[in-house]
Amino acid sequence: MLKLSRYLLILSIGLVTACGQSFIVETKLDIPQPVSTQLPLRMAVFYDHELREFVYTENNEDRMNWAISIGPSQIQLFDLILPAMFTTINRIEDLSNAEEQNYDAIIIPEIKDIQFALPYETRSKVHETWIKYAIHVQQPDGVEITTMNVIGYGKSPNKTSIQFLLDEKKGLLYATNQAFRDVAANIIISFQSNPDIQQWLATKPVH
Amino acid sequence: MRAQTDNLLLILLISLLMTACNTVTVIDERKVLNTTDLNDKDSIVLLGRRHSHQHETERDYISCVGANLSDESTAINVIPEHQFIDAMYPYFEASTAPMDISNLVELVQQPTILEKFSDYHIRYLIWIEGNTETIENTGAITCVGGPAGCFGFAMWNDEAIYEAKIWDISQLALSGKISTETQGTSYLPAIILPIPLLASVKADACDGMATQLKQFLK
Repeated sequence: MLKLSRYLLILSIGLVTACGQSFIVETKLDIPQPVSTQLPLRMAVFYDHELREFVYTENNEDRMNWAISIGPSQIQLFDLILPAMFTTINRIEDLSNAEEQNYDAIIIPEIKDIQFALPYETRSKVHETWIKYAIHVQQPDGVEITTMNVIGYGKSPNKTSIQFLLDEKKGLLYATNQAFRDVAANIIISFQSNPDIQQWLATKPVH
Repeated sequence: MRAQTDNLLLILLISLLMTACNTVTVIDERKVLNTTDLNDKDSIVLLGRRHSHQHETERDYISCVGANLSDESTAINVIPEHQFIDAMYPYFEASTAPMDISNLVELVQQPTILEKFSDYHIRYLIWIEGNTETIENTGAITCVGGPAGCFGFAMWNDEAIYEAKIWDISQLALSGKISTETQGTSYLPAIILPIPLLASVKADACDGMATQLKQFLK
């Protein structure tokens, strides 16, 4: 089923691009290994289909046939930061039997929004990317502990986008990687300072 | 009459050349704690403040001050900004970095962070905030048929305002503040070819800051 939907997605992108000028890219993730500040928790993460396969699409006069695949970079991002945050983190494919696995909590990242700005649209003439996630943290039985709304912002370097103008993809990928870097940093920090998480940590039963 | 006009133009050109590139730097220093000499192993880190997207401290300014501080005469061990920020990820990003010393005190409660500071032998962490901006520009140049046919005159004033806050890592306290303010005017006369006479405002602000930091740290 997943394979079929992927083929359909590729086919639809192919059809879109066949109709004229297009802009198809897959984002790449290049961020540092976080300093490990692991909480002694046994956690699980669930990536839903939308997160794994997310493709940003837009088609208008200014952005003709845009298809920016960010799904794989998102998974790479969470796979990089979560082991630095918790002593145990397992990826689960199904939420229904999570309760039997004796996890402290389940993390479910959800992409809420992603926006791009091009140099001609910005005062400082740079590429910009904004990305917003809702990070749902729930108990294995499905009861919500908290939802953290986290935003990341990235831009291409000042006064260098004139080079990137020659290569639209380069500037946009740079800004998006910076946004990933920023949002990942904010997820780590938010988890450490979120009052709901602090309260849950203080009251949760020790396994 | 012709000779008088030529003389006037010559005087104008000479006075332009003399006044162009002139910058004025004002430095202010406030010491909060007594500093002790850096030993051979001690390092410092210079970091630019970038939490406001409109007024980010330029990376090249931070590199310039760092290069000045680590020159042969002082040989201060300066850890490159990007290297430190990557090594401390995610705690020194533009949106997550400690804004004051109390945030740093909280941060070093985490053993892995303290260990990193110790690995790098960091004695001082110096935050630099500010930037260089063009505050005024006048005049116009018109080019016809490419750059070899330009006529006109333009001038602009640049202002560089930077403040450094020196955090003493061994005492977890603010050690002092240094501020520099530099102004300069650049000229661009164009008679067939444009002749830029540029004031090195940012470079002078960099030299001023580095000189003062050397005195502060040594």
